[in-house]
Amino acid sequence: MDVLNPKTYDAEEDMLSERTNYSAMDKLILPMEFQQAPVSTGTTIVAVEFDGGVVIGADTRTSAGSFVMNRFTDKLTQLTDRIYCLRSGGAADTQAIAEIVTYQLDFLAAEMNEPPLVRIAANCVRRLIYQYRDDFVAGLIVAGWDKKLGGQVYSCPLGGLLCRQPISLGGSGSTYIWGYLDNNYRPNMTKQECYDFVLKAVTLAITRDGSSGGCARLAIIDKDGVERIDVLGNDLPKVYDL
Amino acid sequence: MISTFNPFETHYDSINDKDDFNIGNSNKNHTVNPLETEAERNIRTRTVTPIVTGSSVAAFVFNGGVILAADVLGSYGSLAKYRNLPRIHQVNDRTILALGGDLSDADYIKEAIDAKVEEDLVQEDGSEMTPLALYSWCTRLMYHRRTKLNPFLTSVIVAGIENNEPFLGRVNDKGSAYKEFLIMTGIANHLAQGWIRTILENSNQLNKEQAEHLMDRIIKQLFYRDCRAFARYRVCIVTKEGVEFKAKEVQPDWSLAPGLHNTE
Repeated sequence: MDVLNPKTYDAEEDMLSERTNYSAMDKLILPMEFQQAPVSTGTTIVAVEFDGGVVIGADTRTSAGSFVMNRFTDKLTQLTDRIYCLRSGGAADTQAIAEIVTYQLDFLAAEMNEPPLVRIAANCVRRLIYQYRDDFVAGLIVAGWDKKLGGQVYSCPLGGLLCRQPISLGGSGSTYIWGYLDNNYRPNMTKQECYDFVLKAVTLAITRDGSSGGCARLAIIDKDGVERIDVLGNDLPKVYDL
Repeated sequence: MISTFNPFETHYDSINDKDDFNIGNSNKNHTVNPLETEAERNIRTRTVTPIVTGSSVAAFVFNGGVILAADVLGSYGSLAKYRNLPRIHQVNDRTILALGGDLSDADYIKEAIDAKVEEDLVQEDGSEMTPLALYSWCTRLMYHRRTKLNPFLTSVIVAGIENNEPFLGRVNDKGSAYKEFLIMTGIANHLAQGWIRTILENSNQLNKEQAEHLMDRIIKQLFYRDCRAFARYRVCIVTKEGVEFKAKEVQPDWSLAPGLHNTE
């Protein structure tokens, strides 16, 4: 993928891409559990904004179908000193986006001689997803702090939309915690309340979603820096589990 | 086809060719050929997938008996929906049935076996179902459904004490059955069977405590690497003395997590 010279239509490439898809034969030959499935960070990601920063959290499981490829994944990817992105969807796709945007923001910081704004980072992510929307399966949440607008959370879902929200959920596990959000979120929570909310939300999703699991990694981003907190699987808050 | 023959209709030629070009009226335009044979009528024309599924079952023979373990989760796709479904069932004092895969089919099989056991009780002639008898019956049942192209989408593990010897066997949804000292169903085949077989082959038969310890280690490994696993599980130990069930919970070790930042 070439960032400076983006993809143009190539007829030969187009015909070549209809070559035999060997993994489609697996469906006929192999029983269900043995089939290769795309590696996805089937995941739970949560980001909440508070006055002066953001709290972000994610689980630590990367799965390929029913197999856990990595039980210690770090889905909190740093774009700049004060901007992080949370990745969900195809693992390869989101890693590629994060690396390209990190480069773009690094270049921009050198040009502007100041840290980039969170909205600019989110826009870089959105532009990439939109440009390759037919190819990528990537839903990212970009969250961080800048001195212009303080703590911000931007959601960049599948098709290439950019939307600022005070709180954002993403990933396959998020379906199980929309109710928790609707019931328990209030605007203008303090930093500690936001932290508890994010930790509880990730825990509830881990409990129910098969594609999310392991520990919870959280980060609190404010003007003074990033504080990373890992809550191990045994130390997650207790929820009704019977 | 005989089913489309209508003696009251005009009959232009005796070759019933569906590919001919219809000029003019034809009753073939609006006919449907009903499926003629019973096999055709019962055939599945779409893939049937398992809906509520149980994950893997692990079982092996030790010195003096058999040990099995399975978690208590019924998954609805990726959702951990039913968290109190034990999948190891006691048939009688020396026979155990464990099931994995589609759980509604598993319930059907369990009910059929319970009905058989009750029938035996009613006869009051002291005969009891043995593991080998149950294993053979399950094989016939699964294979019969497979021939009708309507399989039970479950794996059945039969374990127990047969003629004072430990017995362990498995039947899958195709009706393929075998007896072995180590049986795993589901993803445990990939995750655990290789290294457990190495351990069991290279050791003299384990005693009961060692077998339990090893089974706990297997379940912990499955909990780490199977997306559809669950922390609470049941262990069943069958010996000549009888059947023993234990409810346990996995104690996972997450201590490596803080050292692995920036790993994708």
